[in-house]
Amino acid sequence: MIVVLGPGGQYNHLIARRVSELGYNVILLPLGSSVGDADGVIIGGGPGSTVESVPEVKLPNVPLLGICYGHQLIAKLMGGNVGRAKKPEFGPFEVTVLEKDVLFQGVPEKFVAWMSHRDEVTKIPPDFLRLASSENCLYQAIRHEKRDIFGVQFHPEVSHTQHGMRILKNFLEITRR
Amino acid sequence: MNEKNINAAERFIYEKITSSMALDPSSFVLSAAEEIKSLVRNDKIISAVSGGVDSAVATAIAWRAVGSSLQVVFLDTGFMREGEPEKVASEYEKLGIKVEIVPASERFYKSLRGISDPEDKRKVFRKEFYSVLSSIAREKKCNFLLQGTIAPDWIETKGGIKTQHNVLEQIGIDPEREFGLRILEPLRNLYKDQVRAIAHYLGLDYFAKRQPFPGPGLLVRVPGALDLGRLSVARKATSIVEGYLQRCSTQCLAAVFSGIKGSVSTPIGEGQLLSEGATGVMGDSRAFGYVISLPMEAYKRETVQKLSPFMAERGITRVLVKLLEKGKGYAVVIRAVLTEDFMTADIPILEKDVLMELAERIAEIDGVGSVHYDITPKPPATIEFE
Repeated sequence: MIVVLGPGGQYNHLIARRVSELGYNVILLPLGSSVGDADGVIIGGGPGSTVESVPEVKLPNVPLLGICYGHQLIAKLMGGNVGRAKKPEFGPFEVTVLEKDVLFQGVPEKFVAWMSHRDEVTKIPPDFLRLASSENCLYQAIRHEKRDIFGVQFHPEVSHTQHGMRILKNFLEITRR
Repeated sequence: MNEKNINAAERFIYEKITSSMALDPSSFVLSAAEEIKSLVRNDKIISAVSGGVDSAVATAIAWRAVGSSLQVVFLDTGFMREGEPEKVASEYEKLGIKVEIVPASERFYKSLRGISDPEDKRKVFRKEFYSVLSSIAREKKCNFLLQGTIAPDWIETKGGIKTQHNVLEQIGIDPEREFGLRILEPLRNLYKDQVRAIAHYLGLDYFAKRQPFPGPGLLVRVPGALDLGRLSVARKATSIVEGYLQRCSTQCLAAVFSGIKGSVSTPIGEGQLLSEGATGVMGDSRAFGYVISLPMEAYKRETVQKLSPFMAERGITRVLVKLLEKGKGYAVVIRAVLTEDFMTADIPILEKDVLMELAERIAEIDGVGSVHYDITPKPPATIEFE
């Protein structure tokens, strides 16, 4: 079972649809819910900002993927930082993969992904690596060096993002290991 | 993240997780029909069809479930496309379903007079829609109201992006107390592409291929206070645009602004400011902002990417390019989008010649001063203007 935690954004129901289409059981719950015995957790997007205040959320000890707000939340909770983006991104932008990580297996070095964010990760937490960037945003994708904790600023779940399904599939396969 | 945002978060669980999310049309139709049958028992259902694919699929499923206990009406709100009520009724007739056309345009025009705030317009429309519908339901002794609500409708309404006219329960309006009707929404967890797949499965190819059309219709394509002159131009321009662009886009439309209000300097050159604003969505929040038009040199995919920071800073939700300007008068905006599920939308970069020919046809309509093409994807824009 995969749990999608939705902080109130537009695409969280769509994330649940994609997970289901990839053959996994999924449940969509509000951010802050208990995730029970989930095999993996995805924290989705939302209209909130972690620049000023961060909700008290306990990050689960299973494979974890943060998307947009979820990505920023993970970065902040684990000791990184989030600020207002100098160049907010809305719509399609090119992402460059810098590290051939398992998350980007089968994904070309450059691909077009869709964004919708005013904030961005400005400093990654200790023990994290940068996996991808875009012209306007340094940390488009990050991961923990040893644990299965990932964050992406772009939205792999929307149909316009190239290779989005592959990226979600790569994450979900980690939960089966 | 504040308290309000947490409360607005999704507060429900899927009962049939795999079957409702990864779709198999035949089993979906069977179980949706069963559910309707068991809820409705010997009562009657009213369905208000719009002519779009969502209400057509919901109606066809309910028809299978309860047959003639289903009463189908079409509310002519006065914001429909040219010849729409008759066209829709005749398509349903081919399926053996009788549709009663309810003329209500005068009521809608009267209650919307003088209201210019886009959310107020949508809310007044919704109130009028349900009050007309509930009185018909009472006449026909129907307790249930069938709706073609799909996932993006309630996601956008709950998220405060824009009020969809068919969303009640999800935002805390009790339809039974307010309007005396219980709501049936068999498609509430589906997206447009999934509804279309079911439409094909049910043999509703005509509806599956139709241009999507918003519930409040042309009302949201006449930004600001309702003006019957602009409404009539919107109706004519929509027919022309659909004739040209429906083969190369998922949805295409025309909106009619009062005109051009002034000029604006942008990092990539001088532009014009339109008289009314438009709705957008930025970082999961509603954005209502300015609409600007740039010269044709800006007609490139990269323009909106380059202007993203400027748009966020200045509260601009739309970037257009100006196709032609013949003088004072209404500013008509052509919009075409490519999308699977309407959650994100891309812009087709069409041949300049095609756009210019289309603009010249639109400029022949009385009262039109300029014609523009919208190059803003969703996000940061929404598909419709309000």
